[in-house]
Order: sequence, then structure tokens, then C-alpha cells
Amino acid sequence: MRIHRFEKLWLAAAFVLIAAFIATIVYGSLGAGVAMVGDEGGTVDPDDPTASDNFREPGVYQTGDGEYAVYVEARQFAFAPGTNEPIRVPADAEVTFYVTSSDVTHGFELVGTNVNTMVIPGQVAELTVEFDEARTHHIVCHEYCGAAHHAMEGTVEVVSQDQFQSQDVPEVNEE
Amino acid sequence: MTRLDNNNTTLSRRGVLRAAAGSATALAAGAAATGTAAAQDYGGWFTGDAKGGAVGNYDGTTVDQTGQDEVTVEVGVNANGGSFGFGPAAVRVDPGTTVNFEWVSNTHNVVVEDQPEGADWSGDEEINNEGYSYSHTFETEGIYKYYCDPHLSMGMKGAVVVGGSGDGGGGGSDAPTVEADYGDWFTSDADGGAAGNFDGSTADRTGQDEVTVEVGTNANGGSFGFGPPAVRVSPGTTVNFEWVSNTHNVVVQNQPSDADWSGDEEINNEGYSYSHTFDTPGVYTYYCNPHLTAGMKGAIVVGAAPGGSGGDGGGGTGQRAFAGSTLWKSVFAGGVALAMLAPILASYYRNRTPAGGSGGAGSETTDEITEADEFEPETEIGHDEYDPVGTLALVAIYFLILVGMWAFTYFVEFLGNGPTIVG
Repeated sequence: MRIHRFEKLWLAAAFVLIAAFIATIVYGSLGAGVAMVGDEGGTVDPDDPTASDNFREPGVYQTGDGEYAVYVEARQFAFAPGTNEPIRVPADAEVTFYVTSSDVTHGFELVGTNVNTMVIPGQVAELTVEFDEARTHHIVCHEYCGAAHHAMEGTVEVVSQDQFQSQDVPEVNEE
Repeated sequence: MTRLDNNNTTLSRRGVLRAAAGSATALAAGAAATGTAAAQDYGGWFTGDAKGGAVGNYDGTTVDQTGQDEVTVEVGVNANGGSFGFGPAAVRVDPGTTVNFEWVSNTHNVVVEDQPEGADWSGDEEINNEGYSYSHTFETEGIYKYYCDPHLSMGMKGAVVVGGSGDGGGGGSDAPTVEADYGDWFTSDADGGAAGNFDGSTADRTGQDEVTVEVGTNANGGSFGFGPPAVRVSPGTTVNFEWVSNTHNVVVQNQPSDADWSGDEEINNEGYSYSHTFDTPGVYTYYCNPHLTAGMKGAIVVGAAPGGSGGDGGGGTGQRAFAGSTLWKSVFAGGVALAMLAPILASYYRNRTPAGGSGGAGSETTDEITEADEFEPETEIGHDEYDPVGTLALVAIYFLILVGMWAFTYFVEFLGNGPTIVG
């Protein structure tokens, strides 16, 4: 088969492009550290998530030096904490969200960021985030959960480390 | 009404009602007042025109709980497509009454929308669950509007009316609401035939001093109709019955118990007229005796429509809005029909033009059409000797667009939009 040299050129370029796409994904995972939300959060009893070992009373906990855990219970049509009282976490710290639902499938998305996950009843979505700057993020439910789905929102307040010291956050030992 | 026991933590709706009924005979009075339908103007708060959805569990009545020290409003009763209602949605209490809001389902709060000047009700904006309760003592007279923030769009709205009298004729005298319920009067199940000219709607003529009903309009297979067959008027309105054809009368079939309309049983002909002033609110049904079997039946509703603003303006607006929607429907239907006919009209126009214009010349040119000549190539070149530079340029442009989009979506849009999930 005779292939024109121009055709050889763009065939080669296409293979380079595919290789570059794969390299990008590898870089994102190994270099930039982008992670997927998996099933490592474990399962809980959807009727009473706090009864389970891997879910605490909803709220913010300090789990180590610069490490925080936030337990969020989503239900129609509120995040607890988040909707009634904002979730306050420090900047430049490793914040791990544990999100579960006690009724139907919800979503948990920090608007305009890459932080988002599906919230499935009986399943804990575990996601670790590092907030670089002190600012307010808004939480929306982005999985249709019922008639007032559009009204389901909350707030994450990222405050500076200094401001956060004054906060009284219970310390717990993870693992 | 007593406060609910603390051990009754799993409050069921029935349980609350039972507890309430056991302690207060006044509840019975309240329930009775529900029936009397004291009209209260909430300025459209319970409709979908206000913020949030329409309130499905508000039927136009304000539950009268005056004369009690404590009143219970359930938060999260079954309504509006879920547990999204206040029970009752509208309640009237005396000044100084303590209203206990009792949560009977989860994730509700009480947010104050509007309250009289000088009142200091702040509501309870914290979202709470079943078993929770909150109370407030209402001192200032007026209308308090409130809602549940998570379920506002569902129509979880309520109102507390402090002061004023809801019993008897006091609050209800100005604009009593009367439902346009005719039973089976216009069907053939009642005496006589079915009224073919009654389409289920009641013509709204409220707010007018004089209203005309034509006797013997074209309907029911002849001149055997009342026009309009059903009409709503305000109390005190004079209705003029005008005979527009022959041998009709007006016989009263049913009227409110304290009304004294006797009709006009004498049979009269075109040109005759008869009038009566309707003062007592309620539903009046009447017919023409000679043509009852044909379905010559009518009804007059005296009083405001339930759920509306009660005023004449409200009724008029409804009428206009309906007319507007019909107009738009016709315009839409016409547009669709035109779009469907367009190809047929276009093809007709195209076929017609040559025939009308240059018919003879057209037939001549068709004969002259011949196949184009096939030219032999002047020079033949090999596969590799030709360079498709234009194609290469096109491929290069596509390639650059692809690389640009890839770089933008991944590095700018994704990685640049921190924070990102890192574990």
C-alpha cells in the first residue's frame, strides 16, 4: 500500500496527540495529584449514619496537625452542616469531607471548583481537599433530589489559619 | 389547648390532633368556623403569584381559633406534594395568644415574610426536625405571613391573623366567598335535560350593580338557553332577565335557606324583562318550566369566588387573563397551520410561474440540454507527485484547534479551577 507522505505526516501527528492525551491523564494523577472519589468511605446505615464506625455526628473535627475531617449529612433539602450553619475550615490544611445521605441520592458540589461528588444513601463519599485561599465556597446539590432540589444549597467558609485557632473544634483520632 | 407531653416525641399528625381535641372544646368551635369560611385578604400570599409556590392546603378559609390562650400550628403536615404544609395554613387568633409551632416532619423552619408594623416576631429560622416545637405570643393585631425556607417553592406558606372577628357575619360580611358548586343541576341527572350551553365555567360579573341574563338564547337545540347559564355576582346586585325569544319563564329550583327569590313563573315573550336583586350569598338555581326537558337551566352564584382576592378586580383580572391565553393559543395554532401549509403553497407558486410566464420558451430550452463533454487530461501525474497543500493546511488547522481545546479544558479549565479533590 502506498501512503502519501502528507498522509504519513498527519497520521503520525494523530498518534502523538493520543500519546499526549494519555500522558496528560498520567500527569494529572501523579503530578497534580488529582484523585477520584472511590468507595473507600465505606457504607453506613442510611437511617442512622452516625451509628456506624465510619461516620460521626455531622460537624468539623481536627484529626491531626493541619488535618481536618468534615462529616456532612445531606437530606431533602439541606446539608447538615452547611445549610443552617456554614462549614468553617482553615485554609492551607488537608480537609477531608465525609458526605452521606439519609434519604435519596444527592450531589455535593463546591460551585466553580473541581470538588464534587454524588451522595448516595448508605454510602460515604470521602474526598480530601486543600483550600489555598480564605474565601467562601457555595455548596449546591447537583443531583436531582426532589421538588425543592433547586433550593438545596449550603456554604463552606474557608478562613485563615490564625482566625481558625480561635474556633473550638473537637479533636479526634482517625484510624 | 395544652402543651404536648414531652414523652410524645414521635408525634404523628393524628396524635397531635387527638391531644389537641382532648384538651380543648374550643377546637370544635374552630372546626366549625372552618366551615363558615371567614374571608380574609392575604394579598395573594397563598397563590403562586407571591414568592414560592401556590399553597395547596389553603382552601380560602381561615381557621378561627379566637378565644383561646394557646393555639397549635403543625409544621410539615402532608400537603403540597409531600410533608410540606403548615396545618392550618391560615389561622385567626386573639391578641396575646401563644401559637405553638409543632414540627411533625423533618427539615422545616419558620421564616417571617411580613408582619404588622410594631410587631417583633422573628420566626425560627433554624431548620429543625420532627418533635421540635417553638412558640410565640402574638400581641400586635394584623396579618403575619410566614413560610418554611427549604420548602417555599413547594408552597409551604402560612399566615396568622391576630385580632378581628371571624365568627358570624363580622369578618365575612364584606366579601363572603361562595363556591360555584351546582351539584348535578346542569346534568340530566337532575330534573330535566342536560344544559348544553353550560361548559363548566361561571361568568364572573362581580362588582357590578346590574347584570343581564338573557332568557331564551340559542342553545339546547333551539332558543332554549339562559345566557350566560351560570353567573357570579356580588351581593346586592340586580339581575335583569331579558326575554330574547318566546314562551319562557323563570322558576326557582333551589336557593339559600334565608333567600326570598320567587322567580317569575308567568310565561312571557320576547321583549319582556324581569329583575331581582340578590342580597343573600349562596348558589341559586332556576329553570324555564316549558323547556326544562330541553335543558334550559341556569344558576346564579352570589358572593366572591373562594381563594381569590375577594374583590371585583380579582375576578376581572382572571377573566382577562383567560381571554389573553385563548388569543395566544389561536395565534400559535394559526402559525403552526401556516407553517404546515407553506410547502404546498410554495410548490403551487413555483409550478404556476413558468406556465403563466414564458411557457413556449421553456419547452424549447428543455430540448437543448445535452450532456457536458468529457475532457481528456492534458498531463497525467503519479501518486506522490501531487501535493495536497490545501488539505494539509486544513488538517493542520484542525490539529491546532484540537491541541488548543485540550490544553484549555485540562490545564486551564480543570487544573486551573482549584481546589481539586486530592485524596
